Amino acid sequence: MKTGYYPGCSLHSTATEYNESVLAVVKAINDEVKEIEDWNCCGATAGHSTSAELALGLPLRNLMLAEKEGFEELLVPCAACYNLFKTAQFEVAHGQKQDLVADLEHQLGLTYQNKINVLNFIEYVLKPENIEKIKKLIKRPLGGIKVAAYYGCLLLRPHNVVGFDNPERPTKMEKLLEALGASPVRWSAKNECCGGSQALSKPELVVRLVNNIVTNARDNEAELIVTACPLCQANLDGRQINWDFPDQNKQLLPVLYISELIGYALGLPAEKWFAKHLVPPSLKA
Amino acid sequence: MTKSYLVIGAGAVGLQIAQDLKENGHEVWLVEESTMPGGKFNSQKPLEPGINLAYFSGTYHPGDYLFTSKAVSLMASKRVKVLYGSKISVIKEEEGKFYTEIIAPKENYTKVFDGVYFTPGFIPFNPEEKAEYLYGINNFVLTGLELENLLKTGELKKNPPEKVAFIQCVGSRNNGIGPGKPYCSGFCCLYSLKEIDLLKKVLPDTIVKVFYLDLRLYNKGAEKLYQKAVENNVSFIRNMISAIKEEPKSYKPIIRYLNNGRFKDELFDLVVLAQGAELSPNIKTLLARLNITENELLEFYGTPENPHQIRPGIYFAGSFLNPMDGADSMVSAGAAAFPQINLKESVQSTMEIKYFTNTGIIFCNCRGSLPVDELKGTVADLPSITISDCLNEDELGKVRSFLLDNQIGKAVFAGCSKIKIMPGLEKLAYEESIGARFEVVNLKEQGYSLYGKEKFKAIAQKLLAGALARLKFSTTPALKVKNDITFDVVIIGGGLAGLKAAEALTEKGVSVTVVEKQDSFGGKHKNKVIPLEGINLKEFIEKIVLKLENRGALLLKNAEIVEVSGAPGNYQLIIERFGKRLNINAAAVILATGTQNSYGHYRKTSQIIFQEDLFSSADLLSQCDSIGFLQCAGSRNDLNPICSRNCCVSSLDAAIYVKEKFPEKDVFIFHQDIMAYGKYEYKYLKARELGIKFVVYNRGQYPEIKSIGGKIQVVTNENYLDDVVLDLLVLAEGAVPNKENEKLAELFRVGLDEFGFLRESHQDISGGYFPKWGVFVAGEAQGPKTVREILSSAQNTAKNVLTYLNQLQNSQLKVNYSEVIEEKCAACLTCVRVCPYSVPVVINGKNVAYIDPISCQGCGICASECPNKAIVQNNRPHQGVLAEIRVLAGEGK
Amino acid sequence: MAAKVLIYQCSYCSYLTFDLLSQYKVSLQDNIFLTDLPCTGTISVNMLLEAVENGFEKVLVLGGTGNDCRFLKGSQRAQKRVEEAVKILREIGYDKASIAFYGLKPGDVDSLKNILNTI
Repeated sequence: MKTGYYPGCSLHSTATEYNESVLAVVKAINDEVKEIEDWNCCGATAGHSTSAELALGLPLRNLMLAEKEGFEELLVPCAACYNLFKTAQFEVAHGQKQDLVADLEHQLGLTYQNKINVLNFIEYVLKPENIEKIKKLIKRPLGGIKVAAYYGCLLLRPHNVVGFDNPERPTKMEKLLEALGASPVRWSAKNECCGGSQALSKPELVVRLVNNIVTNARDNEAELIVTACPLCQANLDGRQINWDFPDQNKQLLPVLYISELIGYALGLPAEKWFAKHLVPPSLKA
Repeated sequence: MTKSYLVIGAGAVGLQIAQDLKENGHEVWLVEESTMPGGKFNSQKPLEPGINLAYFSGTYHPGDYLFTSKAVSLMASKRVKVLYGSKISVIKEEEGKFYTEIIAPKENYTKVFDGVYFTPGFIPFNPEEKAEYLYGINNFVLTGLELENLLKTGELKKNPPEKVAFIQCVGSRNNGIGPGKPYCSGFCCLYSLKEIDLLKKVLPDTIVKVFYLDLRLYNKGAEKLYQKAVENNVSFIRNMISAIKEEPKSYKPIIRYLNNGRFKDELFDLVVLAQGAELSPNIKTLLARLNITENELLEFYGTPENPHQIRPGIYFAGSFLNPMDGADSMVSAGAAAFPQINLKESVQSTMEIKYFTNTGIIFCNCRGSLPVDELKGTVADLPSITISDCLNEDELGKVRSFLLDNQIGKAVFAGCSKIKIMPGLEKLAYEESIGARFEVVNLKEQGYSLYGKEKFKAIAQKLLAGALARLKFSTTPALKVKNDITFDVVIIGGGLAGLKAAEALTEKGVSVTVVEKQDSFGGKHKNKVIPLEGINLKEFIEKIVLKLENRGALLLKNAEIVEVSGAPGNYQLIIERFGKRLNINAAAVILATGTQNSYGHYRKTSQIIFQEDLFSSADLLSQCDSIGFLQCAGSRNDLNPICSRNCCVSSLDAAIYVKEKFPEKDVFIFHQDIMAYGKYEYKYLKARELGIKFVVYNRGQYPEIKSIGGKIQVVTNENYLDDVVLDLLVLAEGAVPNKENEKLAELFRVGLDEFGFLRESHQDISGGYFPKWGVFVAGEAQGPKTVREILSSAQNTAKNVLTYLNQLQNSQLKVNYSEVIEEKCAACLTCVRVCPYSVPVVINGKNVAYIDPISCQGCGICASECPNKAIVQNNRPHQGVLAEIRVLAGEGK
Repeated sequence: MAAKVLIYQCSYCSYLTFDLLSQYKVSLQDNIFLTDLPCTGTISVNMLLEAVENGFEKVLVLGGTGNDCRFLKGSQRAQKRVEEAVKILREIGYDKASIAFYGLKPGDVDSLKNILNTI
């Protein structure tokens, strides 16, 4: 099989519903992905802000392992992992830190080609053969439900590294939503930062940023928000309840993973996933 | 020697260069990608918005003035081939010549040229590339050109926006990262101010806010627009906008900016993006074929000797060379064409002129916009023709055939403005050796547009009948040959511009006299040893003076002009030198008197000096550890309201010079706006990379300067920056008009603009800088300039002088001049006394006045003053005007 | 019937300004006639009086100002001619027509609009 799978740490812990829904969708369209053997943490924020070697070495080891297993593609649903993998590929392609690359090659016993195609989940779904299958398999039409597609930062920036969609005005998730029968709303906060890992060190900042994003979604008549990043989902889902800005009405917006929405549309059992959300999704599982 | 040249791009610059080359006898092919000439100034191009009203050096001109007459003249010329809708498919350099293959709509061509001029201008930056501004997604986000179009059609008045935002620098100054280009596009600040001026005229209550980084108001007349905007309550906010958000449901644009240190989200009805200049992909391909990369083009700024030639035979001019505004681009055109312009030695042999006697009418319905068909019936007995497009080869061919077949000697052209069409018509007739007189009845700008549809027919009929009545009394043009003129040129002012113009002219064999008031040459640049724009000016000036001496130019120091008389081609100047008076004859005069310095309210001390002090000292910089430059010290204030244009560039040059030589020294530049326009922006980038610190101060609020313990302390407005302590503070003195300008204006009868600089002509938009026929202006006398710009303008003026000298000595089909009817002349000397050019002379022995037709300027003052009506102004003969009055009056008293 | 007005333009100053008028959404009534001369200096007293004789109640001569005149002194001459013509009209006691000269800088549409408003 040609597609490897890298869940990363969060998909095995705080974002298990993302993991389960992704794998369920993959199965539903008769595709297969296989988790890489012996994968390690990509480093996320802690890794790349501490040391340059870790920043490249941690994701690079995973890429090398994937190549070693013979995968042509690697599906990486977590946006942070995805961003770091793309950055690693960019740096290797530009001949940076060649000593580190050689060292890892030596340790793993291979010559790294740097040709593996790293995909985030949206890219994976939008592959022509996949999106066609999904459209045919829709069991629960979304009935034009108004959805705000939230991209956040790491899927889009830096553009010359990630190369996925227009960094200032992305549209790929909206295309996907339209294919599912939803109505993506036109809103301004789709690529605004949610605060990321500041959720732990500066929660009041995250609360304010989340408030801006959710208010904008709601003002544009969105009924729910979808995202493809575990930390964004955690922030948007978890910090809506904290705020106490006086002029907000207290209607909360459910925040789903894009894979959960696809799974729901395909008629897959979604109760276990929806149970993990702090703001209960309004869709009848 | 006649050569053949290819000009790529028929915009204002390309047309000017083509015209200059053609006038000089060369063969020119003008290849234009779109279907019409004029480039950005053509607002009628399908699918491409253009500039409707151009703001040129302080005055508005309809955009189509800048290209129509030149395009028609060129299309009428036999030595010129104008190809629209055409592409160059192959271009190769072979042994110094250029082999090309051109694909035109009707046929394909192959041709070898001696040189190529690239004047394709630029394409506007596509704002979609900066998706954060939502152009193309949000209907309330426009470009400046689109706004101009809306103002023209009157759309905005139907739904007037209450609040409009302008965002500057879209696609420019990108530091080499992301979409756009690293240079400053040079015209957008002026352009936005112009748009605001036009907007405010139509919608005076609309609130306008401009978001900018530096407000680059260096162009002549820009400051005037700025003051008007401020009076109209336009706010200027120094904030670069990172993104436009949308208000939910209405999608009206929201702009977030810093206001007194806090973020503010403001809702607007309309956002206008100031698009920068981008390179056309087609041109990039062409350049690649000549092995010129995009980077080479981006960095190319020429050398002082060769500002336009990137390689022998390949020239760049206009905005393609360096993004600039329209007025500067015309000077660039002239300077680029200069190498090819030579003094024609021999007088052209007498042409065989066909003098026809019939009168005819040429109607033009201007691409269907003028209902001239209604008028055909009113002139039933005269031959007439209707064309629809003066910029079409076939239509011009129809006019040509019409004149020849019907033997038309007098023609009324009923179409658009005289300024646009007359030169072209005259050229058309001249090329066919027809001596035809044209009268233009302006049925468009002064007809249909002013009177409206219903009244058009009645007015047009009257005007047409009036012109025909008048025409009956006019004579057909006569061929006049001039034999005896002097070719000497006198240059008033031996500064940088004067010397450069002298060098350029002497190179072409013109004999030159330079008259300099002071006792040394070089003006305010003579002592500058610190290289400015790569030139050590002291050495440069010394070299030029030596060159001029070797070439036999007459260089007069301590000389002042005191009297001027005579006519173009034959001026008599009286120069006073050491108490003695000298008479000098000149065919042309160049005024290159430069500017004087304005020191603001500042005084020099041992640690506070001016730029002129710094630049003339080789050692001063090495003695100081920290140096600061205070910009606008002598400009943009109550003593001198305008931007002096060269001080930011010189400060940057000096600062970079210091930092490169002594990296450990601290260098600061205190500024309001850094005028590093066009490719000067690269200096600004370099300065920042070298670690030069830039500190902004608010407009009009000069930083406080204290002298403490042998050092200078500059109090900054920024709350994050301590006051700066310096060893040396260099103030940028400003440039103000030379006090002599008023005297010169009187002597030469040239106009002064509202700031006191010598005014260039307006009606002939060719960067001509000649306010009067025969009197030219070069250098800073017209307005402040940087060093390279002074040199460029001097070359452009030299080109204009050469063209003028060539015209003077060649046979001309003189259309507009006055003639004495000898039988009626009583030699009363009235005409001799009233002529502003002193042209009429009384011939001894004949006892009648004689007016030389070539020197005569055709003003008609003598004709109307003559007590016996013995002089006929053959463009507006007395009887003709009276006949016209009677026709216009209609049914009589 | 509206008073007939004849306006003389010069080719280098006022002609351009009139061309710009329509851009500023100005419109003229059909009792106003425009015609041009190379220079307003071409105008003679004779021409001005002929216009009055033929029924024009207002004759305006629009030239340049100061040193702007391309023909150096044309505008000044024209001003003097107009003064002459006005003097003659006054001497013969004819008050049904007025003749005036205005000097404009090329492109000064605002001043031109003011002048046209006085008609």
